[in-house]
Amino acid sequence: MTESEQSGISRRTIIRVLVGGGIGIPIAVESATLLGMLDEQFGGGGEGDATTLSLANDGGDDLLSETPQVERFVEATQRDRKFVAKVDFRNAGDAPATFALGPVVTGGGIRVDGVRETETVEPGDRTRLTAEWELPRGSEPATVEAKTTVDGESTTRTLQFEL
Amino acid sequence: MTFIDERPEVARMVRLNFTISFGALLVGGLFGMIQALHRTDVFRGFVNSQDYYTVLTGHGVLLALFFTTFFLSGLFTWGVSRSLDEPLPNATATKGWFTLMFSGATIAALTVLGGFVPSMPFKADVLFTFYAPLQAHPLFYVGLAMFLVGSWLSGLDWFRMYRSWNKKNPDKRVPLQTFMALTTMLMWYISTMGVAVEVLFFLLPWSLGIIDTVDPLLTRTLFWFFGHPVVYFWLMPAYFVWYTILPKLSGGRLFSDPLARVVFLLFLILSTPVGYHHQYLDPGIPSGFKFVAMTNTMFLLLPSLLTAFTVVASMEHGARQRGGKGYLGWLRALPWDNPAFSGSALAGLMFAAGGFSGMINAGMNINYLVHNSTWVPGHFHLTVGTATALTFMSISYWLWPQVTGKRLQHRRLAMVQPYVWFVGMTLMSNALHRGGLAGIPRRTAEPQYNNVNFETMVGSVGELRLQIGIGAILLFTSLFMFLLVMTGTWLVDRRGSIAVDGHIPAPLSGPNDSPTILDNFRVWVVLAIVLVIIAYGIPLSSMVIDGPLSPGSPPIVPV
Repeated sequence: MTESEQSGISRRTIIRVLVGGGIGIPIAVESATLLGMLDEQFGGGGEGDATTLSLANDGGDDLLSETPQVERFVEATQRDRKFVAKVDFRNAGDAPATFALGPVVTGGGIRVDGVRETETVEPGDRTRLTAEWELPRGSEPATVEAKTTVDGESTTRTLQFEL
Repeated sequence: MTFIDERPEVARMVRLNFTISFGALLVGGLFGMIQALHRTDVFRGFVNSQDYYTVLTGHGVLLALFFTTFFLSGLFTWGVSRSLDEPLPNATATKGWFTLMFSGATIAALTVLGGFVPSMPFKADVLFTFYAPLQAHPLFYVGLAMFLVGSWLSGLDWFRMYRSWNKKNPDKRVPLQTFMALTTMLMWYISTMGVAVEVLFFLLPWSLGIIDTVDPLLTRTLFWFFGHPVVYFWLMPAYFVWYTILPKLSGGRLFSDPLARVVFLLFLILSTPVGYHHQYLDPGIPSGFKFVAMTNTMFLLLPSLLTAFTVVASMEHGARQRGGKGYLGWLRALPWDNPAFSGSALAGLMFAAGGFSGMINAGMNINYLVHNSTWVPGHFHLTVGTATALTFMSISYWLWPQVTGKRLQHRRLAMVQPYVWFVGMTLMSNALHRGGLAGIPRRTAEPQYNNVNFETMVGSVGELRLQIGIGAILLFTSLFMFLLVMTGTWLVDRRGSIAVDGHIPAPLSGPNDSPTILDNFRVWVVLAIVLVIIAYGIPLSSMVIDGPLSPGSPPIVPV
């Protein structure tokens, strides 16, 4: 086999790989998008049962016991991709405060952005924060950040769920 | 004989324009990658979120204005001179418009880059859409004005070459490449009136402190008077390549010269009266006129669909000349290893996808779903970012040897480059479109917001960000590969043949198969102006009658 023939075969192989990959990858990406959208629209998402999640590290009566505010974990549920966490927040301090949940990190390590925050809660008042996230398909929440803020100073704790 | 030997002075101007264009591509492309990595939170170590807007402005201005226009100037200088077999009408005048464009572009670019240096007195973090109330330093507007006037004068050069040719050939049809260059410039003259008025009468005096306020709605309207046709100013040179060079690269001939002329005339008359489709959410413009703009925009699909038919038919003809057979089997006979062909063909394929997402942008109601979301950059990275940019890069593999007289270097790198771009853009644009459907906003440095949960239909926001980041890295890699090939070719000594055949065969259906009125530019210019008056006359009048500077806005100067 001559050098030019070897070169010709090599070139043909490169072209096959280029055309196959160069056009195949885009077709795969767009097909996955289309099928995913069809499944989302017509695949009956949201029909599954809700799963109740428990905190792995004991939340006790006060999630952030070092703050004068009281943050009480109510419940966390997951139905398909929707993850909902509820926390009762009572401002037992003497300054206006807010409480926030998020972001969430899944069991697979994917960070799901979005911080859900209460309105400012005056001293003596209470509220319930109901926070929702849309998780990646097939994943479950592993942790969520809980944060109380008073006068711009924040106290944070990572809540872990039992997987 | 290669083009550089036939017309050395023309080849030199083409080289100069291409060189500036490639320089803008390098810096603008680097900014694009930095921007994508920062915005997606993949890597935020290049710039801080304040400098992000300098990067964003630089990316838009360098690529959308300077890369495209300098390349167009080189391409049309080559095409008009080649198709008419005419020299430059006046070498000094040609150097004049080039110098004006280059000086203007340099001034505007330096003003933008001043945003990186806090001690610099001039800044222009006003994005590519540089309308009020964001205000730039006056030098930015001066630079843009010089650049614009330079582009007008470049077109004058081509009209003078045409006039000289026409005197010698009064009964001949205008050669197709010249026809395309001239209709593009006629469209440009009409549409740039809006931005010229905006800059000279409003933004420049405002930035100099001569007037205190400007009417944001009026200046936005004047910007979009130009802002949509500029899209066709980017695309028409790509069409020029697809119609006149791609069929030859496929191994055949253009299917129909008359259809190509009709397409360019439709762009001439329909490109400008559509700008309101960028302003569907702006108050102060009657819905009826927005509807007119939507209708005109939908009509603009016609030339693109005609192009899809004509160019694919031409490619099929070429493939069958090369032995291709079957309903789809002929596709295998196309020269996929020739980067000039593969890049142009892939660019055309991706433009089809851009056309579909453009229909969503153009629809008055459905536009509200995606307005100002990442869907929009997803769309225009398919059009200007691929249909135009990839076509320009690929055809350079064919044209650069002809204007340098040097054989293309690093051929294997060149062969791979268009495919890397295609995959990179698929990943990035797909994710941007999906992000837009989830409501993720564009034009912001920050990827996350309190109390906002973007619900993606497929995958997660994190996956989308990663996909955008990988796509951006692939795109810059591809761009860098292209510039390595161009630089390597430029630096090598000139010897032997260039291995490029510059001959362009006659179309299967030639110009004589079409009515001569197609070549009567006056008729089409008048029609274009009438349509502009219908679309813009009343709304613009009402904005001016209530005071051209009111309701006024003082400047908002980004810090």
